[in-house]
Amino acid sequence: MLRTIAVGRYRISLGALLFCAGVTFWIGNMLLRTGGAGFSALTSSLYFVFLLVLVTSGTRTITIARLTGFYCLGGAMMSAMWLVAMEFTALEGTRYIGREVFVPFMEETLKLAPVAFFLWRQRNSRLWTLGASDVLLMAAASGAGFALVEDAYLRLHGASWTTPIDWLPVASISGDHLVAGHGIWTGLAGATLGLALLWRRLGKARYALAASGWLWSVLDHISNNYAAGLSMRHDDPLHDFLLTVGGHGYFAVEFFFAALAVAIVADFYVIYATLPLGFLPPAPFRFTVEALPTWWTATLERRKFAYLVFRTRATVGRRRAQLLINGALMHQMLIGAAVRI
Amino acid sequence: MRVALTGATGFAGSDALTEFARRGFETTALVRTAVTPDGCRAIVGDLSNLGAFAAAAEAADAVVHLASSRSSAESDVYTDIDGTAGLISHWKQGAFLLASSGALLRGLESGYALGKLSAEFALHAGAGAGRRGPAIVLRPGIFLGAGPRRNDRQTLGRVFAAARAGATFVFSSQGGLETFGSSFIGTADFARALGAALTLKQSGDFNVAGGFCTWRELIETVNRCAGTQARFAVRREPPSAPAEVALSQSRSFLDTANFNAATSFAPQQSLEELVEEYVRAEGARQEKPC
Repeated sequence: MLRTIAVGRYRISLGALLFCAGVTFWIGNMLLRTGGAGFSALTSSLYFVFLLVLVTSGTRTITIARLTGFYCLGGAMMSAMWLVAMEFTALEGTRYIGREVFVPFMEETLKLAPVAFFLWRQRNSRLWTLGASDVLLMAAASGAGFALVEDAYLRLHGASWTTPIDWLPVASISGDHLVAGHGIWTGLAGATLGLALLWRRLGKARYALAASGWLWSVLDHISNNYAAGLSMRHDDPLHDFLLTVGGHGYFAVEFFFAALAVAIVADFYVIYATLPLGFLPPAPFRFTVEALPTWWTATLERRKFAYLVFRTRATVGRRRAQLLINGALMHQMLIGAAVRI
Repeated sequence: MRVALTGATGFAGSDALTEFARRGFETTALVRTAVTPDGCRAIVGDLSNLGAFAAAAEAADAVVHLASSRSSAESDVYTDIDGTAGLISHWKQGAFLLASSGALLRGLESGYALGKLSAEFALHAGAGAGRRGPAIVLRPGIFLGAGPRRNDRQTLGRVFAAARAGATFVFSSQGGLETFGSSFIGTADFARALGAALTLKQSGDFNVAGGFCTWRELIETVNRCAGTQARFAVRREPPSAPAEVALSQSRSFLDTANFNAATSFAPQQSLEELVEEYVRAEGARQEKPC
């Protein structure tokens, strides 16, 4: 059965080819239909992901290809959300509660769902070699993909009532508050989830940490939708309360950047300060175009190894034994790779 | 020096206790049943439940970890690895000495070898923290000894039992008959190696052996010392009859130069002496010396 196709000196899997074709069709079709509005939404969401990839380049292990997948899954989640929201808000008497509470709750959940599914699927393998910044990146990419679809639609139909911030176009100003946007909301949820998965020594407090980002995102999203809905309903005392608690939307952005910084620092600590000296030979490096991909792959593998070893120290029982076996085999592979290269 | 020792009642444990006593060490041993081996203070527990031994390990100047199920069963391997990691978590200062296995160098086909590799990995991953001293791994050749556990999954015990039953040892080639075998070490020599390793200041993995013997030499020595009539056969087919036995069809030679140079360790037990000691312990010694 044909599983790969030769393209020049490379072989591409049929799955990857189908994925590329699907993404091209999706983005191309969207751009044709939405024109400048769609292009603007696309560039701002990609710019956000690109910035995150850049600042986490010293700690991440997740590949750009994987991130692209999460970006697309986030976009697909928007379609699912649209169907759910239309059904819910169509019911008589549920319009406000639907738009202001149910929609934020569902959106924040659905955007995080691809990441949660991935982590659950990889609970016995890749989960243990991920850094906090990896989970943040996956979640932010999913949120950005989600935002692309929503923003393209809203901007096309002139329904966007917000003004994007120049230096952070995924966030925008709307009247008296800041709208953090889907990328930042989901990124915050991913950051705290990633930190909780990395810092296993926190014990049960990890569960609270893991949920905190998502909870704040839901709260801020509710606050945002409530404020937007208020333009149609006046004199609601909840409006001021929600905006005050959420810092007029600024807290979510501040928390996101704080969580991003903590995730990067934590990952840096794990990668560069927790392995015993001389545990791994120096990463092989030759400054040639041919050797660069090999060096980068080896670098990512070493980071995965560091995350695995770090997590091993906070586990017990059969799980610890399994992680140590994986770590031992990975160590052998890295030593062997260093010698071969 | 205060030493926390696991595996004191195991294959090489009693020799280790004797050697540590000779060196003036104060040894606390982890034992699974309420027996107190000579030359130590015993604490009842096991690797998955260290109990009071955890505090002894934390207070010790060195931890010596000999305990192993010597099994390839999955649950035993997991227990060994987790137990080793648990013990390492109580290592606070001085050296940690892990008895691994030369079987590692033959590959990772068995769960036993994978378990030993993982235990070594756990030790090296935990080294360097706080006031921890060197992490030292000793990879011995096959053990030859005459202690109470001499027939507990040991090569010499298998060879002796087969030879006494008049077995034929099958080799896959003539070359194999001449070359297949393994590095070996007597338990008393291994105990001396443990004592010598505790003087090391740097972490490292070291092979330790008292010599190398081909299987043919081992079987002939058993025949000579015990008066048995074991024979050899060379053929490609594996053993089929009940009276046929095959040992590992490989040559496992351990290069011990690094350890010997680092510690000035010099083995004292020859193959002949070790087999004779074993045969004597089995009560099968011949009238004339072998």
